[in-house]
Amino acid sequence: MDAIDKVIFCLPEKGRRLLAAFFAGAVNRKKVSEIRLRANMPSSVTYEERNISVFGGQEIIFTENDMRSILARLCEESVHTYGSAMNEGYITLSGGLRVGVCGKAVSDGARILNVREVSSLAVRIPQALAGASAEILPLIVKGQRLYSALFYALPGVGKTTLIRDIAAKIGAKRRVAVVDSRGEIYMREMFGHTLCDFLDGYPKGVGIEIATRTLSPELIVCDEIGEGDAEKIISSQNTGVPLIATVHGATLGSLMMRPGVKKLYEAGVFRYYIGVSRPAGSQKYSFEVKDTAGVNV
Amino acid sequence: MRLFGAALLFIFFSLLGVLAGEREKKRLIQCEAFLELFEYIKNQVGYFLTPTKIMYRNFSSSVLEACGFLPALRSHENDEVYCDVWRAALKACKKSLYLSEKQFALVLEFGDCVGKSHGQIQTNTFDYYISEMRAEISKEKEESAKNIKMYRTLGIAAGACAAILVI
Repeated sequence: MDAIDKVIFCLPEKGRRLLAAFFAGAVNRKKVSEIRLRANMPSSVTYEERNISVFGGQEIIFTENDMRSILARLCEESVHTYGSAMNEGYITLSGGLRVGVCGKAVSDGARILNVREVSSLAVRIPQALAGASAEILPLIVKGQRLYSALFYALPGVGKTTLIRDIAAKIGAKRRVAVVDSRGEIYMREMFGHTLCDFLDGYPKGVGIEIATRTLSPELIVCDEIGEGDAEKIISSQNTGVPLIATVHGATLGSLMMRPGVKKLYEAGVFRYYIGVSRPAGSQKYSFEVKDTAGVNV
Repeated sequence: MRLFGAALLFIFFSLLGVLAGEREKKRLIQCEAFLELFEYIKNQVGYFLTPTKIMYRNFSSSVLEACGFLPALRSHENDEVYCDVWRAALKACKKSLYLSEKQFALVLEFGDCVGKSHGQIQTNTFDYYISEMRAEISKEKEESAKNIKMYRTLGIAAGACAAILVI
């Protein structure tokens, strides 16, 4: 059973029937990037970058009760286990299935204490795209040397898919520490025979620090670094272990507006800044590579 | 021959009385085992946020093993979609449970709450079911002592009557 089937099986009868019929048709499952379920509004499937919300001539609209039951099923009846992740807006289920959770937040002003009345569940379908990094890999691996790189792109382009492939390729022969804070990089079929060590659930900065100190990695891979991670990354990067990371951003210019990323840039943490894009419906990436001076490579 | 038949009838009715008393005992024991499971789940959810599958895997109780409830719960561990396992397990072992209708409903409803919401909400709900089950147990304890005696006496009396009639 793949991720799509798992989602379908978690749905109430009507939604299950309509979506199962849709996916049984001429749909290439590899081109499905998201299934979005909504309460009191039409659910949709993002297929070849298009949002489809009518299935067999009907919309799929769930009730709030349906959403609660779908969430419980997706979480394998362990919603409590995912409580704190849900407060951050997502949960990561087995097999790297990541689900964005929207609802009514109960907050104390500074932080979210709980999410009630779940209104949307955005299930991102993980894709194991073997060979996704083939074009960019020679830039990172030069002989025995590995170089740090920061991949940036808009959400949904496939940064995680890309660094998953990089980690698996380099990890085939070298020690790679993967800081997998959200548990969405690991996929058994890709990492079964690699030399990768996974720091699952560790906060990024802490994970990078621990990896550097205790795992003597030849490369560290980390997804979606945040503003608060800069200090820890800089201090661990002084040890010289190359880092492959991703960050949300459209252009290098817009990244420099973010103090954390700017700090990393000024500290010279990354050798390359690689903008990633992918034409709608295509599985081929385009890269725009700049070095530390901002010059195209 | 008549004497032999009378003895058989006497033994049969007396045994029926004893068995009815045993049922009462088993009901009490099963209620206590379920209460133990309720409290275990409450602690696991409240303190450790343990995933439901792991809670069910790690809990041990000879009573719930013997009636088939725990094995039935665990049998779903590798289900492709893990849902409503408590209800399914309870249904599967219903015949070997001696719970009253109310007690059965309590157990069923407790299971419907496991893992379906935030930890704090769950533990609050569990408290209600735990207190209800405690009340059921203390009521059961009071009644079962009386009932066991009554069933035994009734069994022996019915056996004696039947034996006298035969003789």
